[in-house]
Amino acid sequence: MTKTIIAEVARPQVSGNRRGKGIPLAGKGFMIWGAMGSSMLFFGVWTFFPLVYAFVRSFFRWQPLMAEQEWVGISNYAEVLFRDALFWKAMYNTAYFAVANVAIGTFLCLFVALLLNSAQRFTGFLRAAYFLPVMISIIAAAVVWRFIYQPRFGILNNALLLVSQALHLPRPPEIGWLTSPSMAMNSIIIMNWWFLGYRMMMFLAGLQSIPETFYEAAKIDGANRWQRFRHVTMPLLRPTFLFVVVIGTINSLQVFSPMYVMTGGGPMNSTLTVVYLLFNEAFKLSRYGYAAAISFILFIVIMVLSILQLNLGRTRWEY
Amino acid sequence: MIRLHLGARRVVKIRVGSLMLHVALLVGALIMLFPVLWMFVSAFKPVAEITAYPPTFLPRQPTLATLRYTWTTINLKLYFLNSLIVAAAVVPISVLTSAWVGFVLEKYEFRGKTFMFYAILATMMIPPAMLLIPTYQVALWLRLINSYQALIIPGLFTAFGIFMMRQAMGGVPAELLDAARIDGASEPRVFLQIALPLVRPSLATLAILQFLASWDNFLWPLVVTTSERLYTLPIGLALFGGESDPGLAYRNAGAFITVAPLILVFAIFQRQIIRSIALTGLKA
Repeated sequence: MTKTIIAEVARPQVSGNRRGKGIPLAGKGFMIWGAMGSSMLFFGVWTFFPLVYAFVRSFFRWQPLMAEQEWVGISNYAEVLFRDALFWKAMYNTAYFAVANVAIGTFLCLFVALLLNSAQRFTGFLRAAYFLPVMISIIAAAVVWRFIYQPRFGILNNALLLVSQALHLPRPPEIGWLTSPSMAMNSIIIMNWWFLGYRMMMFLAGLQSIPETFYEAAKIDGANRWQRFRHVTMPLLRPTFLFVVVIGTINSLQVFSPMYVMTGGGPMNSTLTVVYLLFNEAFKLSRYGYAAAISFILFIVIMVLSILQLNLGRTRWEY
Repeated sequence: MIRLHLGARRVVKIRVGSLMLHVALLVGALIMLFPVLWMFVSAFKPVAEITAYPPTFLPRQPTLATLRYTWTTINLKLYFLNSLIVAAAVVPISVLTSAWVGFVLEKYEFRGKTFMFYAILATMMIPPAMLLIPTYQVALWLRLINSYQALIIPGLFTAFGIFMMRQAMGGVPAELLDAARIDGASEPRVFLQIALPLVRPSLATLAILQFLASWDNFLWPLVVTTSERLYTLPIGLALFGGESDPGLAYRNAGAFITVAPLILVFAIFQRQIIRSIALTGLKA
């Protein structure tokens, strides 16, 4: 018995595909069928089927507990795009949030990452401090920030008051950070910058993967600090930059939780986002087909933007 | 360059640029830490002090009354328990299924492997918001609404985890697995006793990330639970208290209770968390 096994193992193994053929694999079928069967069943039930089902149902007047579903063709889509002013309002709000979060937020993250990368002291503490907010559940964070933004006993208005008193300025008005339609979205965006640690860490990882020798070579060639940044750091950081922008866009376009907890979409729908609208249509008004149509329109927007960004950011060279 | 003469011989040189950089970074760090500190100190103030004008920073008379009221009377302990139950089920099972599928995808050859791998990968590209409504319908059909199963089952497999574990299994030498096979180990045993212990660091990292994701999960539990009995911490936190001023004080105490385990996890596993997030890009 032992002999035959040894003989089989000693046989040269040609390729990866044939590797292990000489050894009896007891239970290999069970492993493959078990793992792939259960995972495919899972993703089939919770991802692929729902995706197809929602697409089909977006052409119906779909309500989950109703037996009869009425085919309405593209009228859900037509209503979203051409007759629903609230959808365009939500779209505008979402775009506003996404631009602030991606365009300004990304540079903020990069800026802090660059500063942190050149710090020599307290690096462990500094990294932990800038990263800590990422660990905090968005809901808990939103609660704390509502508390900070509270007009009367919130710390922000009181800090402004102290500053203006110290500078002998007139008493500032009580700002309703979350209750004024023109401020609410900006306040949520400011809160969101608090979570810069996540993207900052990705930039830091990118910065630290740039070999020191590149900078030394540039120095020998007489490049100054700016030139080294412009011609070494920037091009080598480009893949990280692209990744951060694409992921940031995808996530920003689906923002929901901070608005749900901080403002409930108000005041006057000024913080109503597309996913919030979708949530309301489905779970408040039971218009599932309509909400599904919104979700597919959002999906197309996300897809187009991601592909556009990936194409614009593609590099044609490698190191 | 500034030269500080300390005594006869010692001269400390401080570069101005470097000094300014560190001061700016430390001020920024304090701003980042402030909301957490504020939440922390406010949790130990009585409600009257929290809503008083002007606000105080340190509690005048530190008290556990606000926390205790939130924990027992508002019944945050129930939400805490629910969050724990969900995490205790989702984290170990999803880590194990990820390792299993990852192992099979990396170490075996079989028909349809590439297709199935890409199918799993593709699920990561689908925005979660899109799946919210039809998965709710699926949960309705399976009669899962308002049950622990609704909170647990959709988390039992994770495409991201499978992807991560497949990478980790790539580092397990095939010779080692073959050696175990020659000694007569069956495939499940090769997986459980040889491969799993070798990828322990990745298992730990995935477990931490899954715990964080489970603890923070909001939109799905919000949709599938309508009974207060099943609320997890984020749902409870979002829905109790209302808009009143005392409500804000109790919510702050609730936020403190929600965040405390996360800060603990961060304090212990800081290195793994930062490394894994920097390398993978799980959430933003």
